[in-house]
Amino acid sequence: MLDLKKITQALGDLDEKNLLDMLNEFIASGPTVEEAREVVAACQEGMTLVGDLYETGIYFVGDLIFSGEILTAALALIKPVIGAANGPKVGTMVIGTVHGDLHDMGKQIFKNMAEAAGFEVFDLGIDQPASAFIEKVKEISPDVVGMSGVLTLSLDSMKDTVAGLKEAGLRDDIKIIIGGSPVTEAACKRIGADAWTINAAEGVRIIQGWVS
Amino acid sequence: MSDQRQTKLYKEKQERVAKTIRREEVDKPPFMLSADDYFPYYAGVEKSTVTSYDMAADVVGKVSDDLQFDTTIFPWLPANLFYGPKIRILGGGTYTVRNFEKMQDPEKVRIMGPEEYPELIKNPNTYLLETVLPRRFEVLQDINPEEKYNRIVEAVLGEGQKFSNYMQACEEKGCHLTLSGLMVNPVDFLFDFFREFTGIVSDIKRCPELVRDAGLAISEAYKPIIRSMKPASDKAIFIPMHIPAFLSPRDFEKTYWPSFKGFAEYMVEQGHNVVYYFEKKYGHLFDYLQELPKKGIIGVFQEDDMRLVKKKLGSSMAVAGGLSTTLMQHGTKEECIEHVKGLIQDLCPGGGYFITPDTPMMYPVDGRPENLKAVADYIRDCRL
Repeated sequence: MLDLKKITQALGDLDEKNLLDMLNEFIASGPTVEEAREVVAACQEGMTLVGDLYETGIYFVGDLIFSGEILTAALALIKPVIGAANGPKVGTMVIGTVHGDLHDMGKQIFKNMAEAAGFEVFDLGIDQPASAFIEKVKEISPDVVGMSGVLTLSLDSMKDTVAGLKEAGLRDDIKIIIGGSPVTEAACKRIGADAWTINAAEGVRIIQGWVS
Repeated sequence: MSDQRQTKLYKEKQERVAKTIRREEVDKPPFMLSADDYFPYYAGVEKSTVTSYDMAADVVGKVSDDLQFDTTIFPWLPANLFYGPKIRILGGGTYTVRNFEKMQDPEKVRIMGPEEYPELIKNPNTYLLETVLPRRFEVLQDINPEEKYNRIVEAVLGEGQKFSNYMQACEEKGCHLTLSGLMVNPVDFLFDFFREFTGIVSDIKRCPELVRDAGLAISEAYKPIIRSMKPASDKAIFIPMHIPAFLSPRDFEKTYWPSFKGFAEYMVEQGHNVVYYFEKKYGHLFDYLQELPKKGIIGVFQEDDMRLVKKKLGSSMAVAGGLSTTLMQHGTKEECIEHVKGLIQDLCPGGGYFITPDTPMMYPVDGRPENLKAVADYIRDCRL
């Protein structure tokens, strides 16, 4: 059996080659579904290490993005072993960059980290109007809605989206988190969200607290 | 305002800007407005009614008259006039102009594969013209070379000349512009136009030497462009800084820094000033920025503490920033003026500081007009 600590450390170190070499060897050994799930959990722990290193200022956004690339490649290797028998999800969420804003990066980082933490994430994409959030919330009844934006203008779109969810009678059933460089405590209050962050790792901790 | 008075004020602005770039003390706090789409909003003009550059210049002139800022990096960029024709000539490609804003789907930016670095490094110009542009603009794919080059020249040079005339018209109306040219640092060029974020970040991790060498090759290809530009003591080449804020110092040093530093040195050697727009935070890279040429550099900072910026970099470059757009939107006139007083008191002594909004003012939410007016009037009447 693979040394799971080495898997966690390789992802934490962003050592892509070493990690994928170990995983290829693991797959070739004909592992069980349970063993593969343990490897996925080790990768998730590696992502937690990456988040910690980001919060302490050792890693930067580029490192977070690359960790997502490595995780995607790692999961693509392991998925055939696990098949459809995915492990339990800790919660579901809908995310999107709000109307008028085409920035994708922050949302993508958050999505990677939330998925690594066990959330099932439905990504609406960029430039999404309030109606798109409302429709998706009606469809899947998520635990959390996440709105992202970089332009100062996006704060208005976030406010409109929260108002739309309220009008549709959906607001009380969900928690809302907003993220992006123009977001502040004051903006969060004006928008009517439950939490705000400019840090993906912190954001994931907040939504974990909501579903625990 | 009489023409004579306007000319006198313009000359004073030119001198104040040139002195501040040289980090000399000046008579009043230099105010560098960074406003773009805020111009028509402030002027009370609906953007869709502006159908010519002459009308756009009137908008800029009106705002300049009212606010009397010393300089703005570039004037309002009416997207329908500036990008619209270019995009039409090149058949749209990955761009659209919607609601007077240029939009690009980030998923369409990655039009170069990492295996193509050697081809780019061999000859960036050929690679751009023959490979990348036809991918970005499908209309360039199945036409003869002559027609292809004619389209590119018409889009870039023809429309560029109209914009130059517009800038000239703005200056004739008394609005001093800092901009003498627009460039993108070589590795940001890769990021912005070829590889998008995930692509360039992955390249930086997987093949840092190729990213570095591509940056150096693009830098060489830039040099004839720089030689064709005319330097002036009150003007600067504008370079927005994109990806370094997201890189660790180690990755930055290996990949971005070699072409960034070399290109900065070349522009300054050619007599140019350079204004870098440091988007987001740059505190982790201050040690490198201290190694840029000691003259001719202006750094506009967005999210860094300006007092720390001046302390760390004030002996290397002129610095700009600090005016809180959040306060201008949500504070009172009195609070805004107190804020500006603090900036002037702490940052103007010794010269080399432009008061500049901490984020480019683009939308109505970037500041209430009455607060901006109060700030501008205070700065105009303040003497050092």
